[in-house]
Amino acid sequence: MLKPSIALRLLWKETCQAWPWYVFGALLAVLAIPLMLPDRLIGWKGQVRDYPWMLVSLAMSVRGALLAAQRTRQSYAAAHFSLHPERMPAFAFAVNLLGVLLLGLAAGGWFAAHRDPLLLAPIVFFFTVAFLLGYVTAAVFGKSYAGIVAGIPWLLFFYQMFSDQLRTPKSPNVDLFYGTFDQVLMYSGCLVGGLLAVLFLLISHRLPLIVRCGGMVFFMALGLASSMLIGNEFRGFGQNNDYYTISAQRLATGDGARVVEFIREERPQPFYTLHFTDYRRGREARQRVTVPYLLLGFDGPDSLLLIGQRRWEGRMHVVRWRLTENRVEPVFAFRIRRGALHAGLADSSRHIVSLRPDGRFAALQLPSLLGEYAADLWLLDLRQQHARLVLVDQPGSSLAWQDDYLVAGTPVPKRISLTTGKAGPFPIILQEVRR
Amino acid sequence: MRRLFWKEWQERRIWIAIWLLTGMVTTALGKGQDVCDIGWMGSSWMNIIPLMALLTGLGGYGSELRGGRATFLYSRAVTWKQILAAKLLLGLAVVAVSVLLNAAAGYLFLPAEYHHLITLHGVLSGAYLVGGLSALAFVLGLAGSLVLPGLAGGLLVVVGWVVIMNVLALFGRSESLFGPILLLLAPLVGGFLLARFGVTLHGMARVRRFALIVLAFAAVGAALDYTPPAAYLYKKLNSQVGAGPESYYNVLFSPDARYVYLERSINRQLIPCLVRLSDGWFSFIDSSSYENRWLENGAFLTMKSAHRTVGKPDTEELHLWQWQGQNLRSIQIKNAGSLGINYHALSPDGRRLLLGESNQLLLCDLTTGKTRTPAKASETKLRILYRREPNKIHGLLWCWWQTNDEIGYLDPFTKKRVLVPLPALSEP
Repeated sequence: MLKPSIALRLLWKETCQAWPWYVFGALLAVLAIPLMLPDRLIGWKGQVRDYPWMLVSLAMSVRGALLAAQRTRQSYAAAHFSLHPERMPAFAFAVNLLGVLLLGLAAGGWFAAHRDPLLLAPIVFFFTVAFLLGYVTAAVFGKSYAGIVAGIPWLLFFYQMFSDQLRTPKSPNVDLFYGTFDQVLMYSGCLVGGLLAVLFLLISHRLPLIVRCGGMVFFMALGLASSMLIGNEFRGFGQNNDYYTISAQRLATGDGARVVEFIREERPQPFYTLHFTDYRRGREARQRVTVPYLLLGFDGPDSLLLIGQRRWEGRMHVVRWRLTENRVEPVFAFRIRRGALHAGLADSSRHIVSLRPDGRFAALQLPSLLGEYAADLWLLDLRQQHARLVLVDQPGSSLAWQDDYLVAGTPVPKRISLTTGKAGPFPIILQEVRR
Repeated sequence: MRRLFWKEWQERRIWIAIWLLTGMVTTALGKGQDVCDIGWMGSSWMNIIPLMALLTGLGGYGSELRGGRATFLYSRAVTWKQILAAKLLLGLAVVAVSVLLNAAAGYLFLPAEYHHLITLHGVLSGAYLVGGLSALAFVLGLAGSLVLPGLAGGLLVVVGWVVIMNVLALFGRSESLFGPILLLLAPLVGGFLLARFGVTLHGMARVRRFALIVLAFAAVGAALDYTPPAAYLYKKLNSQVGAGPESYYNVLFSPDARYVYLERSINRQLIPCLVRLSDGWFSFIDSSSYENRWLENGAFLTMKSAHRTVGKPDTEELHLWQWQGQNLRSIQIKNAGSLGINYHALSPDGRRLLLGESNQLLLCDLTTGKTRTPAKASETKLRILYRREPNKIHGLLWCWWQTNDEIGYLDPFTKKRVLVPLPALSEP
């Protein structure tokens, strides 16, 4: 253990060296409160509001990198205190980590009070992970330069992941506890990975350099991977991610006489109920299913077509629900990437389904793997029992059927031949009419 | 030259490996270099590849600027051109290798359903985009490394990036052409001049010269933008950009694809219009409409907020649009408010529409626009029910057409089916 007097002197040394970073960070964080920026400044360029946050994140990364780069250098303190050579960097790291956490708490608390309590945890985590990233990278490469540049991708990540959240006015519809816990759970992977990497660095001074560097990279990568995994798969405390991202659906005939609803069961999870009601005849049917389905459409008076995929399965299943017999039977299945349907269900603006009135063809639009702003359009031939990807384009708002073509309401409308599957532009020649 | 290449390779190989690996991994995940022919819609994560190129470039002159190494290097039998060429050519060779490896990774790892979208044009355009951006980023990084080494050079690029993005946004608003081009060229020219004249100078002298060059270019660009040729060129280039097919927003086809609702961008405003596809006749409709939807009979239902009285809140109006011959007819469904957002039902003959909400049903004759209320739930009773069971939904939950002359709904309190025969609405 450190003697209190030495610890106090080391703390004073760290404070003298590090205070400009935290003052700078705190000032920027205060500046970042959008309410404190006049509208005329942020009016045409909303991203101005994100820069202070990004700069604080980068500053923490730089601080970590400088700290790591200094750890092997001889200093006044190392020469004058009777300390183990590894103890002083460990102490400096701990003090700075505490400083970053306090800054995150202060800035996040300030933001929470003025804007949205849900953002407290992400702010603390982003600053801390930026610090750890800078520290670990600089320690691996032995240069502060490497740590600084590692902060730049983090800055971009920050911009993409966080700035949209900062711009949203409030989150009244999100359960505060679940929402905060979600964020904490997700970013904790990065945090734990970074802390493990630093711990490994501090205790592995007898190992060869290459092993120490490799170990740190391994822990950091493990942390990032676990964060991504938590974010994608297990987000949510005590809740099934699919269960909450998949919304209820209702499909009704135009006269309202026949209705099918896809309902999430409260308990036991993750079961869903398909509930059909024929109001005209006073008839009902229910099916409990474990696979999330999209309601494709009524195929005749007594049959409903559904499409579903288990998250980890590389196939999409088209099934028919015989309503009078209350029996679900498979129609066919086709190959599709894993998680395709869930990506669509989680992003309601990019999934659309449509069934041709004669029930021969169906179309399905889902978010594409190839870009955040792209959507895949699948054409399903229900008689020949096969499906093909016919278009990757910007998401369309509607699908319709015209003779032997599928028409997609993409920004430049497209027409897809049902026989060849070839997509071409759908020309709209406009002539204004008086009304 | 061979030895210079070897020196550069020894110094840069870790960053080059990271660059190549990043490109391959992001492309294999479908987020990097495009190999499919999907135009500009690729993932924004693709930017991480040029970023790695920038970081590799940033190390370019860093080692020469420390500890008098530049003076030592220039004392050998090499010229400044050879040193610059070795650094540049190594980077450009890595760009070429990177785009080839990315394309291979994309081809090998993309899911099978996308394979038929991989075309030569797609591969080449993706390679062109990523290669071009990476080369530009590498050269910019190299220019940055000439000004300040290591940490300071990195920060210079970050600050430069923020400044350039903001100034480009300003130029974008003022319809500039030469300004942004010269601003992008300035660091390259500055870097080139420093490579020739400034490597052995003091750091602050390099910063001063670099800043002077950038400012001079920005000033020349801004001045050129005020000349008539700049305006002419800008117009010409923009007319070519917008020459493709018109792009719309929120394109909603009617179920039978005979009509379409779409929003056109005119003078940076979205103007909604309804189009009959058989002959292209179209008409603009109110731009404040929302909750737009097609009915099965080809009629179009929209909601609109209307400000009627000063000091009172906006009221909601329901409008129905129908083509009749050459004309587009609009009727406002009286007393509808926001009815129909929850559910509606069209009669089998397509002449009447039932609109529902928790406390009221409204029946509308689509030919005359007249309405009547076939069912209403007592609001007091509903309030009592909500107080007793706040987690349940109460009221009129659904309605339907039993036949053309008979409607059905669920009783708001007993939840039992109720059938009501209807006299024609046009009759008193």
